[in-house]
Amino acid sequence: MKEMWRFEGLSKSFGPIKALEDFSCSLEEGKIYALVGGNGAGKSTLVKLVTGVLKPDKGKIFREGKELIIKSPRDARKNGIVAAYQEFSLVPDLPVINNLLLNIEPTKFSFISIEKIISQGKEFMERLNIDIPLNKLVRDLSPSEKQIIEIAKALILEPKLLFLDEPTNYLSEQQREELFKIMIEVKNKTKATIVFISHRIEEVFKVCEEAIVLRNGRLVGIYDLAKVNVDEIIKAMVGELEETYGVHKHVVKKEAEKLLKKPMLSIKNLYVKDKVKGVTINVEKGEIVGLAGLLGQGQSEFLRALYGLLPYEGTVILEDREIKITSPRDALRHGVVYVSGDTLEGVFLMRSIKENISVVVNLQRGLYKLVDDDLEKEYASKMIRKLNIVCKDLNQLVLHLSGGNRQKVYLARGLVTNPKVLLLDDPLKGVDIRAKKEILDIVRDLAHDKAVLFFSSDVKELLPVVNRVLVFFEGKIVQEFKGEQLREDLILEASIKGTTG
Amino acid sequence: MKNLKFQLIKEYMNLKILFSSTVFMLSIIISNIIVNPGTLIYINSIMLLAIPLSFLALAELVVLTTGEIDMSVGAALTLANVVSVYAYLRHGVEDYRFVLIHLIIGFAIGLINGILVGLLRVNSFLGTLATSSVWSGLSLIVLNKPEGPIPQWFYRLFIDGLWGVPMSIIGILILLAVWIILRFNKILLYFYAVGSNPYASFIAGINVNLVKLFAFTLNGLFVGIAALFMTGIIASGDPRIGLPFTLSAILAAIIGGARFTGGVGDGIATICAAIGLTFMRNLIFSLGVPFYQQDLVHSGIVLALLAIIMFLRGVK
Repeated sequence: MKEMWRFEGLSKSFGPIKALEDFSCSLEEGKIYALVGGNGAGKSTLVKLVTGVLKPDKGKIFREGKELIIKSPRDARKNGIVAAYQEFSLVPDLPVINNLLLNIEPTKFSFISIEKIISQGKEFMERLNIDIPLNKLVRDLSPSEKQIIEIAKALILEPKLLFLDEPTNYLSEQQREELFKIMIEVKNKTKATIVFISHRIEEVFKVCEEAIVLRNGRLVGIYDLAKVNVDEIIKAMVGELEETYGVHKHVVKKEAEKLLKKPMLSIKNLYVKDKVKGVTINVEKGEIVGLAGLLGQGQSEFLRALYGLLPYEGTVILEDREIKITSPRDALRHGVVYVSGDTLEGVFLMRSIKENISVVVNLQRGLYKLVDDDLEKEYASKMIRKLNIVCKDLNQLVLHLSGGNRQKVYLARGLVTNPKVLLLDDPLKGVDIRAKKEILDIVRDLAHDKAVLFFSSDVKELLPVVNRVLVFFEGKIVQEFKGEQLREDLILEASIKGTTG
Repeated sequence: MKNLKFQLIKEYMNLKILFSSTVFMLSIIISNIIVNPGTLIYINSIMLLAIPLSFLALAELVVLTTGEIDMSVGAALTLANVVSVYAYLRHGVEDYRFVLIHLIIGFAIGLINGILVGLLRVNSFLGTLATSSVWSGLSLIVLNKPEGPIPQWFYRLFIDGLWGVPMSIIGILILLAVWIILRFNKILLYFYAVGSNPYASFIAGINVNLVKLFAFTLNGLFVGIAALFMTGIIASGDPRIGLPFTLSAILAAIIGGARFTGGVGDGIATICAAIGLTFMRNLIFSLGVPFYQQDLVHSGIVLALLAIIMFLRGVK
């Protein structure tokens, strides 16, 4: 097979952050490549540079030895470079069919020929075996349907270089298999080069021939997947970091034995409309209770309700006093803090690290008081040290931080008031492995005087820090694991099965 | 296949908004007739009054669908009106060129707004608010008081109609034709796409700025047609005629399904809303509200309507 695409020295910085540095490689036609790397490794940046969404600071793109000038997605499309983006590029107010054929719709004197677009769209959907009504508005589609349309929209252009950025995120097992089949078919039929991005490493081994590994914006290497195993790839992604974030379990156990026996936070029969159906949890001081289960089983809603983001019914007792939380303001007053994995929900991107961390402190001092800069600095620098936030200085905008550091800023704001209850709602969702480990360490260190409820979609994150794990299924707790039972396989099994039996 | 085509056209027609807007129009017309049965005699002339507002509303709609706003439609109408009448009074332009001047002024204004917003990326609210003052100021320089008359043939057209067909009917027909042409043209699709998700449109290779420039130019052309009808109705040039229409035009587009964030809105529903709003003015008059308070009452009702619409959409 011959070399089809070549990239030379592609670089892109966002402020001080080098998202991609001097990326050079060649791709052959008719091959499926995996593009892997931790968060912030530069995968999405690479896709956007090649497809003309972002302009590279420097670097060149060649097709069959000829340099391409790509200034916009339009130029990229003309050269057969297309992507299905992770964050979707769909128009919510247009029907599926118009999204599929956007800017390539057959027209006569610029009039849309409805018959033609329908027959063209229908034929294409049948070929891909997709069953989504063409006249439905995209805004009314489910996330998995949107994902399918995003992929279909890229395929209909018959690309020569196709990027699929985390296309399996919202897909079911069966839909994924379908997608893999289509990828292989497209590759064989059109000799297209496909670059597949996924954080599920087993998928990568299933469909890809070679893996392009990125780390911190740099190319680590290109590996022939027939010759390496999963561990080697992971090692290349992670770099010289210890195995995983599996930390000293015995420490946790020792601390668990020292626990006071009186519950600090006790929740009785909590209900949230449609989502949580009678949850009772007692959390002791210094205890970290893990919430597990499949995604969408009411764990998030449970935590959000406790922070006053959703209305609930039930009793919440904090340090022997019944409290009723109806708003985040209430929650903060009672010392209840919530940190989610949705960083953008939690940080003020256009404000400095200092302001992001100290905003709650200022609120608690009373709105009528002037901002005390020294106090702000003191709090912020303390938290930056404690959480090991990598930044230039206190006044750096959060916008210019990496995902992991943004998440740390979010967590720092939660911790700065020294809360009694810490609610963690999948906080490590968008964080790279190194930061994950650090954040887990911090959570464990700071838990000694708090009650912590920690939901994670990845059981591996829970195991090193929690005292016990409660498995949610359809809004109820179906099983509890502690001590020797804290094993990933057991918890996963319970999550899928859903019943205690 | 047939079924799907029908379904898609139904999606394009925006039936829900069309229904609510029609109900709005009919309920105002009916209450008008109940309050003052004499309205029936004037129904033709009230309809004629609704034509300029309908065009202004349509002009507003195309810009709103792209996610922008035009605060200058009223002032732009005034400028087209006074310049044309000035050309007739001072330079004797009275043949087809009298009509053409309206359209050219409208087109030029739209182009200027479009360059401002589309190419120079000025915030459309601020930019068109500023140009609105410019058009008003220019209008006052051209004619500092209402002046007439207008060419005889053009004036007769609005009295006798074209080949016996009243201008109100002609106006409605043009409006419907314009919208239907637009609805099945890909440019409107791009308006919606750009307003609904500019990023996705950019990814699809659409030149977002150019589409916005085009929307404003089309908007200007509609304003020109609105001015043409306005000149015919008032049979003079009036440097203060247009201003109050801006708010009504925006409201009509909003009742017609448009959102300030763009991406939606239906033309026929907007036309119905504009007709409804015109009849509302008449209703206020029929109810015996003193002349100097009519604007106050009208604007009050407009505000209340806006609040109700926003509330209802929020509930959904």
